[in-house]
Amino acid sequence: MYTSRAAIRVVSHVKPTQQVRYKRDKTGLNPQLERIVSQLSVMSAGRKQPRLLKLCNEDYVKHKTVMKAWSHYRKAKIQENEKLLQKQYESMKEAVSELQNLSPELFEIANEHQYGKRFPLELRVPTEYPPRQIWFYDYFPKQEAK
Amino acid sequence: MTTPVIRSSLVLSRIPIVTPDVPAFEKAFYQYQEQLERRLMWTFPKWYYFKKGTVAEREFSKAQKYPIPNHRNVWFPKGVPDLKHGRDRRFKQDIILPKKNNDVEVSTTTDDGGESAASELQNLDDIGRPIKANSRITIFDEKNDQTSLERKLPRTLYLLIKNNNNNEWTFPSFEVSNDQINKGLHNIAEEGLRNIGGDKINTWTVSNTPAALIKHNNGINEFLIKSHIIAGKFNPTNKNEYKWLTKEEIQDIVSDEYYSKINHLLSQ
Amino acid sequence: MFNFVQIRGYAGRVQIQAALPKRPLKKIRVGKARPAIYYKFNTQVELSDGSVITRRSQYPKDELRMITDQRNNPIWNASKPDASLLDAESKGKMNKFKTKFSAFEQSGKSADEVEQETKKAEAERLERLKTGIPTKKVDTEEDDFLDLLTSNYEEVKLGGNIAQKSKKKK
Repeated sequence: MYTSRAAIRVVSHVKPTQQVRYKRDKTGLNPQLERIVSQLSVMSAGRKQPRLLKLCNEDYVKHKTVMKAWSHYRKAKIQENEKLLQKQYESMKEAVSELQNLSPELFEIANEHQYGKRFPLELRVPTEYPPRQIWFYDYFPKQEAK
Repeated sequence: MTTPVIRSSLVLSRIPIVTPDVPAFEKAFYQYQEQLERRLMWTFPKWYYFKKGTVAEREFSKAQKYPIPNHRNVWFPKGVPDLKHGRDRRFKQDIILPKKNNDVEVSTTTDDGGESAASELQNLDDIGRPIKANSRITIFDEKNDQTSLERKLPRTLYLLIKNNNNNEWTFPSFEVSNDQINKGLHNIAEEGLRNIGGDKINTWTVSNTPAALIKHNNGINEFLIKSHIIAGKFNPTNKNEYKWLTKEEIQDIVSDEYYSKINHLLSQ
Repeated sequence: MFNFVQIRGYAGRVQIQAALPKRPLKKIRVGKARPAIYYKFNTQVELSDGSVITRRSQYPKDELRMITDQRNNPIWNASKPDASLLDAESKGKMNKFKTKFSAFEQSGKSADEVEQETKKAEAERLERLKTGIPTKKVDTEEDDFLDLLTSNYEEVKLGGNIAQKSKKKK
């Protein structure tokens, strides 16, 4: 339910004792309300929604074919990827178990937990087009400042 | 009984700098989806982004192509238009953004015969300059300079060096001697790389665990450690031949037996 | 003080007139709901190092330029001391001024001096690359005209010793 305070604010024809100057608009709303309306209108479908897409039978069959082909393609790709991951895991496992036989010392070091190891910040996500300077060659290992 | 020979090799990769090339089928599918989405998109809320009576609004409105509204005495061959907010609801909406003034300037200078390097440098100071994307194909691609890090930007490159003894291309490989054993495989590989290629290179080793094992016929056990180059370059001190290659190029250059062992480690 | 207006409806319920005109609600039947697909532009975004990505955005702009981002922030570029935020900042008015009047900077200097300066700049860059610390400018090496503004100036004291007096009272 509305509280009385809210009601005072929303009632339109009760004249307040203090005059507030607003520029009257054709819609009759004050600027703040108008802004709210325009903001809400961006999010609501209202008159902005296009008509429904109605495909004829032939187009519908075509659409179905395209989507089926895509799903097959995706599935093959994912399966290939999983197979690769499986292979990589197997090879890692084989290498480590063999290392245990060959040199227990190296095996110990290879299985130590690396505390505080972080992914490097400087490896970048690929972009669509390369930067101006593609590779940074003038790298120097960090020294103590003089 | 002789102790088995252990070697530690480094699979040093340069990660792709630009996004992978999209295959023709994927490209066609993405375009189809884009067109479907454009058709189903809501009308662009012009009133929200452009205030009424401003210059920006006027320029925006001037750039648009509005469809012809319905009229009683007019026959429309493609069906009666259904206009709402200046958009025909039966079709997709094409919004044309007004061109900036400096776009025109640049086009005139390029017509004269390209900009000079100096003017381009000065151009970088101008924040409002139009975006000019760099080419995905570099000069090193054109020269086919396989020692460069700036080639094949959409692909992962791997460092291969030539063995002076048997003239075979392999990953840089280093022997693990008994006094080095307490360092671990990953540190031995990293140090070995700096011994042959200088220390002006920044790498990040993925893990201290080996990724694969290659058992050679002569009793050598070669463990592979994965690593990425971040900055700097491989600059061999003893004039070793080296190459940065993609997966396919590696297949051409190494022996089939070696490739079958490392095949699954290389990224497509 | 209850001066709000009550409009009594037929059923006797209190109705309050809202400022926003009420819109009749449309019923969405089962299976008829449609997703909200807002209009989106394909915006080309240039990052600070010149690489370009395409972003889908509702804002009506087809080109966008980042001035400072991850690619020239020293924290994200530990091994590249050359990439700094200062470079990005220098692309403003001060740099414009410098490029305009750079001809006067070299005036009155011999060719040797100019060569020495370029050599020094290169050495400084190498030092920066090696240590990762930007070289500090020594005040004496450049005659800054800003000094002239402050050289012959005494600060005007306003208000006398009021503050001290009040302290003395206590």
